[in-house]
Amino acid sequence: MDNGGGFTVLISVVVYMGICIFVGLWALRKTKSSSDFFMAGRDLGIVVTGFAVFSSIMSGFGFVGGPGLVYHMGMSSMWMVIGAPMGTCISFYLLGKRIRLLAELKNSVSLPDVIASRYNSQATRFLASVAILLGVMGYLGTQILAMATVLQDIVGNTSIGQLNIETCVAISFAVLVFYCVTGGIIASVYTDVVQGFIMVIAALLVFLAVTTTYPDGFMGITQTIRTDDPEAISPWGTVGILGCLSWYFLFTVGSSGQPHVITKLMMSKRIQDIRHTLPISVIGYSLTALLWLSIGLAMRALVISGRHSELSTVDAAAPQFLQAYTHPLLAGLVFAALFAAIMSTADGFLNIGSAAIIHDIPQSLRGKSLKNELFWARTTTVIIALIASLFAIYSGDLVAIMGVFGWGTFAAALVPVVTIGFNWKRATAFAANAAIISSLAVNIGTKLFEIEIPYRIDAGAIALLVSLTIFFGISLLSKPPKLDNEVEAVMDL
Amino acid sequence: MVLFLEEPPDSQGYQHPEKTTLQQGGTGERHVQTLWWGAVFGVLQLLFAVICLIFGICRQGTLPRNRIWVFLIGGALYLIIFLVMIFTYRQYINDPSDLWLSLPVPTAVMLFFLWPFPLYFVLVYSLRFEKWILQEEDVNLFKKLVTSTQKLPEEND
Repeated sequence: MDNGGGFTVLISVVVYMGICIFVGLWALRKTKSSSDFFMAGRDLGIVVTGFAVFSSIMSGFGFVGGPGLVYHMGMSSMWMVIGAPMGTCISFYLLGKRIRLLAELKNSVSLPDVIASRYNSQATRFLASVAILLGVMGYLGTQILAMATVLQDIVGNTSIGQLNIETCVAISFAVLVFYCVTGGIIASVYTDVVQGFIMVIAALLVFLAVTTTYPDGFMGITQTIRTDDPEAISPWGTVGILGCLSWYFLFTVGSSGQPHVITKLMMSKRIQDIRHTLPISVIGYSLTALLWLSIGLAMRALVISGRHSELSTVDAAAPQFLQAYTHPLLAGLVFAALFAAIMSTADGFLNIGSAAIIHDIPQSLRGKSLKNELFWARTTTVIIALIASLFAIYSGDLVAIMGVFGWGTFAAALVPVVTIGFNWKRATAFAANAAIISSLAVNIGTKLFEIEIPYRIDAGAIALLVSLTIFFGISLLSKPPKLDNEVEAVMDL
Repeated sequence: MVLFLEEPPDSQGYQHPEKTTLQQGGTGERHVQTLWWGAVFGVLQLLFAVICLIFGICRQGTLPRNRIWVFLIGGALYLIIFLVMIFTYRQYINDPSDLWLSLPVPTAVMLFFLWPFPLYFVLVYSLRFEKWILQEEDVNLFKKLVTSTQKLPEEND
């Protein structure tokens, strides 16, 4: 793309960032309490909730990390995508009704709030908050790094020239913080709707663009990849069957443990709306995931055949494809939507992270929240974003790998406690605490000590298996717990 | 158990000989030892996922018999698709030239059948919501519960 095209893309992104600032200011006027800031006043309609759910999953991880993984390892990472629709089904079947009812009954503003009601335990609330905070750092770092990577690529294609990644992280941090601090979750969910629509259309257009980019279209792409390496285009890609299936497990069962997704289920205006929210989420996600697949395969074929020079990093697959092979307006549209995806998901993470710090941890330690929660929520948002930005710069991981770590941390810690525990009266608080602690030990231990697991089985999947086993085992060996009458009544519905 | 098998070289892929940012998987021979273990792992996962869905429509720990068939049929179809993918992959190892819709057959089964299949469960959820998930009387019961909960603090005041 020449400098003119590069500027068209840059202008699209700048215009979009301007819109985000406007949405943030608009949402600022609507945000009057911490309930508005964290739960959007529990007033979201069908379409907004549906788009908010799928946009939360399809974030910078999906649009930058996903195509990068397909480029790097062939079809392997598609198991994350293939697992997500079934995972969303599990979330809705097991939690859609239950979590919404409990949230309304107990007037909860966060996931640990609902967990504390279910288990009647402040220790479980505390541990869940810690797990959420740790996962937020990994996942939020992914979003900021994805945003900075894309920005670096866009600016590099203009006469401004290449900026270093630290500068791009700083710019991303500034816009993100302004948007999140002012608007809270309201800004995020309304941006999700615009982003969702743009993403679905853009994914279909990019998919068409991919078929015209390469000689013989999609057939040519698969032929080139297959000739170079038959395994890359097989269902297991280069990673192999066991690694792929561990991702499938993590993204199917683990989906219902993602706090940024399931808290959206607590925000709908009417409980009955969730019957329509599920199809919107699954279809929307699957359509946008075409971008993950098509760009990744196209870039792999282009590089193998020598039509495109080798990428400097794996994460550059999506930005480079869009800039080199699509019309500047389409590229601008996708980049704008990509920023929207990143910002709204990051907003969701900042939201649950700040809720954990200023609402849940003080509640579990002192029995009450901080005074002036709204002010502290905004202050904490800035601090979390700053820490996550540093994590993004200095962790040295790829966007997608950090994303998988965050996803795995949430899944292993929260699936037993929330997904199973909210449906199984036999589950005890002690089992929940043990499951969270063991999941964090396995997940963070393997990351910290760089333990290599055979067959590239994902550490998050092992942590999830361990925590589920411990959760079931301890609950079955313990005396059945005495539940709060109201909680029991909701679990019977 | 799989973790205790001796891992063959290149089982996780290896670096492309010319492109440093790409990986290659080599031949399917690396899967000779693990393919059937993988198939068992996959089948167990699918069963677990479908059991989770069934668990989601249980009411007070019991499941009306007329509902379970819908999930057993869906689960069986889902399993069949997965196993077809495994068997066609076994053939693909021997003959990678067999294509369907310009993709290797197992990859086509994965993308065109396994990926969209959960729409079956989405449809069940949306169409049977008022009968199986949340009935009118549940909503009324819940409203009463909320009202009584809100009254309690007022009475205590």
